[in-house]
Amino acid sequence: MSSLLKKITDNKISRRSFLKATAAGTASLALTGCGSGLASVDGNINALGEEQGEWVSAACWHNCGGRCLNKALVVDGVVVRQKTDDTHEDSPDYPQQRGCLRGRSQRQQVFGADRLKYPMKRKNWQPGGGDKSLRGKDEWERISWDEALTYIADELQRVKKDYGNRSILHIGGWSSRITDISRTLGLFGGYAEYWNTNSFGSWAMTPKKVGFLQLGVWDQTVNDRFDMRNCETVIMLSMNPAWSAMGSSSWHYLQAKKAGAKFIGIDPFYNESYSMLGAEWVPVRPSTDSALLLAIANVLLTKDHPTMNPLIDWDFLNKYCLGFDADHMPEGEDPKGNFKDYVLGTYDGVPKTPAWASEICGVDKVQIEKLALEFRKDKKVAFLCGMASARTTNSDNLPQLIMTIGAMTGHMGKSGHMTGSTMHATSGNGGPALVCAGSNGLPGIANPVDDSINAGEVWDAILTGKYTFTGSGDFTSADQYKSGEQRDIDIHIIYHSGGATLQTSDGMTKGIEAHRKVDLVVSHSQFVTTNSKYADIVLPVTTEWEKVGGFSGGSLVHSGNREMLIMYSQISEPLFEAKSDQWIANELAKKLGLNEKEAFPFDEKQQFFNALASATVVNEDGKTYGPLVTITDADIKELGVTGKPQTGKITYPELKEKGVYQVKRSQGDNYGYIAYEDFVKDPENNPLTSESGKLEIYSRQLAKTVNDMGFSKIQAIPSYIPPVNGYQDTFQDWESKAKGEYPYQVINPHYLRRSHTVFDNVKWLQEAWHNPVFLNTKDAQANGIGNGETVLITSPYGKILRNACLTERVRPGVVALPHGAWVDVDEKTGIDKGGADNILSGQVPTGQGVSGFNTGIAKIEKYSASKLISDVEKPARIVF
Amino acid sequence: MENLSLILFSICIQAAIGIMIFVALGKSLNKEGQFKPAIVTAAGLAIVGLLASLLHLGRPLAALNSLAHFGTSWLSREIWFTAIFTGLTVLAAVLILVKPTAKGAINVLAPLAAVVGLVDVYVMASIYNYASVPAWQHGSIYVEFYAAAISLGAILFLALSGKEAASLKKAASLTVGAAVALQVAAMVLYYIQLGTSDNLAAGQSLALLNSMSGVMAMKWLFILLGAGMLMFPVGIGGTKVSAGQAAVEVAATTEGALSTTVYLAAALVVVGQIIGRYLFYAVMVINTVGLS
Amino acid sequence: MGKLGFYFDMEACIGCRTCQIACKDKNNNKIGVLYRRVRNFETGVYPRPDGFNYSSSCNHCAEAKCVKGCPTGAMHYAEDGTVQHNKDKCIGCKYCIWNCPYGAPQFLEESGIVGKCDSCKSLRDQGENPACVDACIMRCLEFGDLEELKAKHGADLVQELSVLPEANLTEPSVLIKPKSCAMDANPREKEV
Repeated sequence: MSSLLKKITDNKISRRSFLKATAAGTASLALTGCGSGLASVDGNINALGEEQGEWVSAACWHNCGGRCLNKALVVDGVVVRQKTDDTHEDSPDYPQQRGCLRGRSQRQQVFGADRLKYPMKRKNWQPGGGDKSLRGKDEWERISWDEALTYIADELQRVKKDYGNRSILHIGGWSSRITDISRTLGLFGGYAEYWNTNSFGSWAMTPKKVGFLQLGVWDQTVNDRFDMRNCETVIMLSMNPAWSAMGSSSWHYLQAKKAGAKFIGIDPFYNESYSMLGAEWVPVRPSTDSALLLAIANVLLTKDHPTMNPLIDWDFLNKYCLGFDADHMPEGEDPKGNFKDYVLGTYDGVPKTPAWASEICGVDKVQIEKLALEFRKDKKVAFLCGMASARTTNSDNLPQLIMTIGAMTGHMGKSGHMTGSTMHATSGNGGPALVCAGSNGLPGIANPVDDSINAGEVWDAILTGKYTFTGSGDFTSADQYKSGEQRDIDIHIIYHSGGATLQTSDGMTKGIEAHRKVDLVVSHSQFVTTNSKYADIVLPVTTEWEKVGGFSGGSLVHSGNREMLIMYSQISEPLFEAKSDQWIANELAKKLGLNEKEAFPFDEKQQFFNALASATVVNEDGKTYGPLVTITDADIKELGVTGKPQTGKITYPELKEKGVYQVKRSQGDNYGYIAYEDFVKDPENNPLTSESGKLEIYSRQLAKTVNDMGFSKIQAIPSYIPPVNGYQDTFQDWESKAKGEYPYQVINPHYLRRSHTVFDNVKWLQEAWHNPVFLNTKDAQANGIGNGETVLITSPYGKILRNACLTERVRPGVVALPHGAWVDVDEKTGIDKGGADNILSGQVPTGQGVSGFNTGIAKIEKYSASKLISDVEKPARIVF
Repeated sequence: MENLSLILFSICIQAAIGIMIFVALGKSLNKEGQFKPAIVTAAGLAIVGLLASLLHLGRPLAALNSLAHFGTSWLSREIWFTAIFTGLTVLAAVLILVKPTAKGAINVLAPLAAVVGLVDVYVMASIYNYASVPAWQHGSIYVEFYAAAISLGAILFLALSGKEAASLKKAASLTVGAAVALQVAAMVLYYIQLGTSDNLAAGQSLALLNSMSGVMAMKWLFILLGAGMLMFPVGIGGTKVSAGQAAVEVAATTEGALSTTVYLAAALVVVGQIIGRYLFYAVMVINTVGLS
Repeated sequence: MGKLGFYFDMEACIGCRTCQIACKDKNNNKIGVLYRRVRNFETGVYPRPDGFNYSSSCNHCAEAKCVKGCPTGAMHYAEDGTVQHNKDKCIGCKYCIWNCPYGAPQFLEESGIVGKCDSCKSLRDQGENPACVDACIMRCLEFGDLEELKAKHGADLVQELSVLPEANLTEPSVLIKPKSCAMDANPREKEV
């Protein structure tokens, strides 16, 4: 491989002639022509570009925590440079939608020498599986599209006939239903689904049950960015927008700081966000936030005095909440089960004091008392959190407890007061979408099979043939989170039509084993990703830059901030033989003898137009919405679609040229947002999503639903349940405090080199971010590990190598391993040299099916066998 | 060995300059002395040095551009002085080879080359002293460069044309000793400065130097042994304490002991100075906050 | 017009390296060649650590040692006072690399000459900002007349940090709004 790489690198065919050739469709161009040369444009082209090129709005479509405007300077079909939003003057109130380092590297990814160029088959795969053990280490053979689709169709038919549709496991990333193949497979008779809580942890279900949800989603219980500037204190729990919410989020927080807010960060890692905001650090152990917050509730209760020390907003608790104390319990429940008496230890004899919590969470009890007083009701406080602390085992009550602290201190429903999760592209900026994305108009296609396997059991299910069925995996389904039912399942095909599930799902070691068991693994990808590395047939798919165009933003969940909608255009013809997912879904439908018109009644261009025409934007009143885009007959003709002209706020040509429509914001405009405002004004007529319509500090439904699912048990009130693989498991004997085999806790911070796993192959980014493992200096020294030295990290589930970055910013006892690095198992030693977080995680579903990415234990030791070379020096994964 | 060209360049030029200094001295003591081997060797070294310097350049074909900024650039000045020195020396060598009768011209050219060379050594040291490399920002590098030129020049002169200047032998030997002694003293001061500097880059250079202490020991072993042999020629052969001495002993049985000693001393000093120059470049750390 | 240079608001910087990548994109630099680079430093000890990021490029110094030392005149002052590099004159002697106390010039193996930040002169000539400036998602980089930048951002700007050489060596055309910990002695660099 490396000599091939060298040959390629040494070849001096210019990027321009190469891309011209590919753009012309001569995909058979000698592959050695591209090499790393793809990434090197000579200065002349750049100079030429500045004069003659055309700036085109280019997609930036990743699950990165931002949504920004990306533009590509295209000269003769070649992208020579990129830029970001410059469509209007920039200001904190009306910010440009500036993109980050990853988006700015997009051309390196799209035109990377490691792009997959042809359909490929594993050499030793045959219908039925062939030598299955060679998955991940076999050689690749180039095959034609026809061969590839025939193999897949034949295997689907065979497996369906012999074992039924439920033996086909279709995985499409965070939901099996979002990829185009789901339509084909739906028509084919269905498939078993994969469901997960990957991003959200316990925020997946708890908020809806307890009423901690606004605008239909869990992370809109905070006010908008202008109101954050009114806060006196911003308390952040396990947040790092600087590394996980690019775009303008960190800038919004900075405005609050400039307006005078004081920041506090509760986290095992004093990260860049806290550092930039000058936050006071409360160094808490991972997965112990519940204990800390219970002690805060305890301090608030014991120190509260209505006049001398007003900490608790009793009026708020009495009027809007259920279950705080014995006087406000749901009918028919034991009054002794209330939250207040649990915190005070009235009946269980264990008051949840700072001293009690300190032993668990590691925060000094004096610091806990001090922290509790910061929540006081007579200050304007924002109590914010990310999802990280809920991506832990036994954390189902954590969102409810965060809500409870906010409710106790009355930091809800008013200007300058807010409580809740805030993450991703909407971090620090709550409120309804002011520009709403349209719909492509494709009718839904149902999946006739109801099997849906939780991420925490999926690999085990393949290996053991058993799993816990708990209803549909779809967030929008009413059938989600049903009572658990043990089912048999016999998976013969794994079809990865998107996402990076083998890499991002917990228990990768077992996942690889599962992949080596089935008859066929199919993977769509652009590179030799982890899914593809362990697959039999790999289908090269186009990036968004090679598609007809599309939209991002205009919706709240993981799609964009509320103030804008981005429209991107096609940048390049498909590279080599790459095809769009939809083309593959169509062709596969034909091979399977299905009517492809049923799968896709109209083409991608019409889908694009439908979304364009149905996008809406808020009117000046801040309440009503109208069409966003003015479309003329000429536009319709130019696009070659069917549709009607309409009048909106921006013409189609202007939107295409600018690439973005953004609502101009200013302080005091009509677009502000105070979460829970209506509910607080009139709770009777604005009931919440909980059973009672109130904020349920005691939630019968939450407890019943979780307990019926059967993964683990919880109470109706927030309580501390020791996590599985948590701090206590770092001891062999908790009472005597004798440390066990795995004395450290592992967390997986999001990392700016990549978006989850995407971009991790881009050399520019590898050069910028080294991907070390972050160790507390003293912990490292105690294990004889020096800065920059290679560390072997061993968990009960696997072993990885990384070079160490010794830091004072990680609390002792914690190993911070950046999330998402591509696995690179040394088949001789079984050790992963890539530093993949999920090699260290196991499959331990708890509560509502939560994956405990941030509850892990491990040991660390100096690895003397050889020094790990830096990732940027590793050869790219170039197959052909 | 990225710095090979620079090591070769600076050692060759400095050796050539040193030789020409002693040729000039020799001529002042022995008007009839031709010093042909010395002058020709100096010319050869100067040419090799100049060519080596081209190898350091990313675009050697454009090397003449470097003459453009004599007014501000030490590097430009170095090229000027080195070129003039080389020109004078080569001219002297050519005259000796082609027209040995032109003694008057040679007798003018040699001291002129020596003077230009002496200035050139200063300019060469200034290049490094002026750069933003803490490990080079010390007066000792002037001493180091002059000591290299003098010791290499003296010892090569003795080895090549010593017979024509018998009266210079002792003085030259003593000069080598003095130059090396100064070099040692300067190195001690240098170490002290590097060790006490709170500059991060200086610290890194020191760490590099410490990590190469074996190489450092070799440098001084060779130089001191060479200088020692020259100054105490009688003492050799008596005890067997080192490989160098053993080699000397073997050599002494085949040829005249004294001249063999000079050749061996020359070889040792040359190798020692080359090792020293390798270290000089190897410890270069510009600073710690740079882009590279 | 006074001296032109960069302003860097260290207080707002989150060390994301978008500027570094935007620069890389603008200049099409190979791996190993950076005209702008962000470094991360740490100060203090647990449980009160602190840290800062420093985004550096060519400082377009008023007394640029690279210009003085350059034997060919390739390194020179443009009419606007910025330090520019003439590729045709450069012989690749690397003396500027040794001379610059900020490590700005970079040797380009494939062309045998050096290269460095030209403050995106071609963009500025068209009325735009340097690529890094318009890329910064925290808006902590600016480029312009140093006197105007001083007037805009207050008097507490510095040209030296504990990790930087003394400003009087080269009179860098840079203004830094420092985090206080960046003035502490002996910050530890971290390869994050």
